[in-house]
Amino acid sequence: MFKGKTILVTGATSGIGYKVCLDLLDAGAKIFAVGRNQDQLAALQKLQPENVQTLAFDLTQFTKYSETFASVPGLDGVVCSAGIADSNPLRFFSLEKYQRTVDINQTAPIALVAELARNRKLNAGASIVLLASIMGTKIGRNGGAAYAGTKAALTGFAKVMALELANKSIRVNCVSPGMVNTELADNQSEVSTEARQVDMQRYPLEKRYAEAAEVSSAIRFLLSNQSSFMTGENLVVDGGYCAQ
Amino acid sequence: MTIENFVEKFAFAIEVETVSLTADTEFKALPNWDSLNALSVIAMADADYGVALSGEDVHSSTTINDVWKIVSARKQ
Ligand SMILES: NC(=O)c1ccc[n+]([C@@H]2O[C@H](COP(=O)([O-])OP(=O)(O)OC[C@H]3O[C@@H](n4cnc5c(N)ncnc54)[C@H](OP(=O)(O)O)[C@@H]3O)[C@@H](O)[C@H]2O)c1
Repeated sequence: MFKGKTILVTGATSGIGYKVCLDLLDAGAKIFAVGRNQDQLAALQKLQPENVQTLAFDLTQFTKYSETFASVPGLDGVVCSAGIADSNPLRFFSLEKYQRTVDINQTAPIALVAELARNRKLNAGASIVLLASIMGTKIGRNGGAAYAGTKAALTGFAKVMALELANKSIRVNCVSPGMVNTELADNQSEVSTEARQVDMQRYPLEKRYAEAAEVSSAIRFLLSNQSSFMTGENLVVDGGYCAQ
Repeated sequence: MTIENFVEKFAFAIEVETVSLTADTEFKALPNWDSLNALSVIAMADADYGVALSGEDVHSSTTINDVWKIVSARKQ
């Protein structure tokens, strides 16, 4: 389905982004994988050396974007999966933590898309997928104001980018998962095992969190021609959580 | 770095009067205890002591002193 297509994936070294890379390679795509973890990038490249290009880069280094992305080939798809989730309750609000979250979750995706668009790196008919979340777009959660704000911002970005890029038939959509079994969820050390079990019970479908594969398939749908008339939208993948 | 000081900060974190708490208070039995309080205590340990507490640490503690023992051990 993705033969001859080249897709750039951020957050390629872990969780959802990593799974997207594996699935796209299986489907015949070439990938341009971005992350900081060099070992993971090397492992990805080893899988299919001829189809994987890697870039070790901290996406918060905004002043280095133009030199860094100059070598990117023409792209048929972009997946912005890099992101962090830091607990930052109002009573102990840390501006530094907030800024870190905004930089990587919110500023990096728009700076990247702008850079690629400006330099004509996005082929006609390309599809861009931004990883938002049900947090901020549908629900709130204690301690998550910064994270929620960045994710809601992405759905706004997608609408405007969809309009600005429509003349080249470039589509822009968000995917909003509920909790997904990845390192990001595991690293939420403020959540005890018991609290996590209770939280899973709130997911109507099978009382569990999503697997990365279940989010990756929604992303592949939006990257593919199967969604050729969808743009500016937000696709929720949450096992029915927000239906309640 | 005293337990008295910690109890004071704990009270601020969970928004109750300091006088209503002691080191032996079983905090999860307090009427206002909820998941936000747990996040708040974790954020307080980070902001005021530079100590990373986990949800598991709070969950496994019974009294404020239990939490203090973890914080003061990690502070050293
Ligand atoms: N897991 C969930 O429950 C969940 C739910 C809803 C939405 N999401 C969203 O889905 C996306 C992927 O999450 P995930 O669960 O796959 O997370 P993850 O396993 O923790 O992976 C996060 C990725 O972001 C990259 N990253 C973080 N900071 C970076 C930086 N400064 N520069 C470059 N790359 C950076 C990491 O790369 P390096 O480690 O190599 O730097 C890693 O590849 C995120 O945007 C997240 O908000 C996740």
